[in-house]
Amino acid sequence: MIHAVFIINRSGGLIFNKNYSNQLAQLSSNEALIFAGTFHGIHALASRISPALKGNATRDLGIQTIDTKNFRMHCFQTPTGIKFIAATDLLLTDLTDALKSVYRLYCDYALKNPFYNLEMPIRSDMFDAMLLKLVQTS
Amino acid sequence: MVVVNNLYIFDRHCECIFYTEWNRTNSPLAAEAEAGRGSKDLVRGNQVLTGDTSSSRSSLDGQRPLVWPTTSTSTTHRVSAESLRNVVMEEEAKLVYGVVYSTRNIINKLNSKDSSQGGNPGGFTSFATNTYRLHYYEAPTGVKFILNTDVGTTSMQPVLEMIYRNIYVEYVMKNPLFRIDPKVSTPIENDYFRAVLNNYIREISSAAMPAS
Repeated sequence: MIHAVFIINRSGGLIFNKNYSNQLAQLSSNEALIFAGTFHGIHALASRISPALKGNATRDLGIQTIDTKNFRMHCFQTPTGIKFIAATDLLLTDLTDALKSVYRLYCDYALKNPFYNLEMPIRSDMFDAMLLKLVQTS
Repeated sequence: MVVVNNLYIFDRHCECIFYTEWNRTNSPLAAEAEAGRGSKDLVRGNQVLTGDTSSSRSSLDGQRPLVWPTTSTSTTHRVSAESLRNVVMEEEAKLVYGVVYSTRNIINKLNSKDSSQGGNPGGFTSFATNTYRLHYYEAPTGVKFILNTDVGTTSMQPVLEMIYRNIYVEYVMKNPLFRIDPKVSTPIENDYFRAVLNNYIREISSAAMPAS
């Protein structure tokens, strides 16, 4: 059960957020922007403080999951720096496939739209509808 | 098999009062130890460095793990010529605290809980990257325990609670000589605390833990 989806662009700005249940608090637009910026920062810093880096052999790719008592947050970062974040219940342990599907929807409904400005918030009814369908089926 | 990498303890004033490592491949503490060996005296304050020459420090086979800070490096006695290692370690401790503090706050916000209370109202327990997993435990008084392990370990909450309740409270808080100054943080320099902690972590690491 996915509670919310957030999409963060390369500079840390929020380009999409939607709650799908009442589990998480409804964030105001300011709070959501602050959340995105903070997450962007901690995602980067987490690789910096890794105690298990073996010189140049292993690379730390940033936060992939955050666990709390009530929900779990998953993050998928694309090679271009866009982060797809989903907050789910504790039963789901690996959401990489679902987040990759969200990435595919983003490519189809935002990137392939000639009127879409890159790194700007996504305003597309079709994107919202397809994402809702994806959330309901997972 | 649980691989425990390192442990940080931060107090209410956001200062690192204890740090130790067991398995770490890129330690700022070890780097200067390697450089200084041979000519310099390696005993500083309470800290005794072992003669381990391997670059990856594993302290589970009887050697004493590196610990930081010591009184010679605490903020109350700032020496004018600070060694590079202490600066790097201090910066790292601040980075770790910052990451954990920010994560804890956004989780509290998402749960619409007030961040100013102690005891972690939002319930942030851990986060994982592809190389390590960081576990977090906050006592109601605001003392924060941060433990890094390998990625496979799912939950160290009971371990951290054990460390707080049966090791920290017993050997640090119940020690009348450990004064808590409301303005200044004192590092933990308690041999009993360190010994019991090392034994406990050694037990945890070698016992077969079922993946929960």
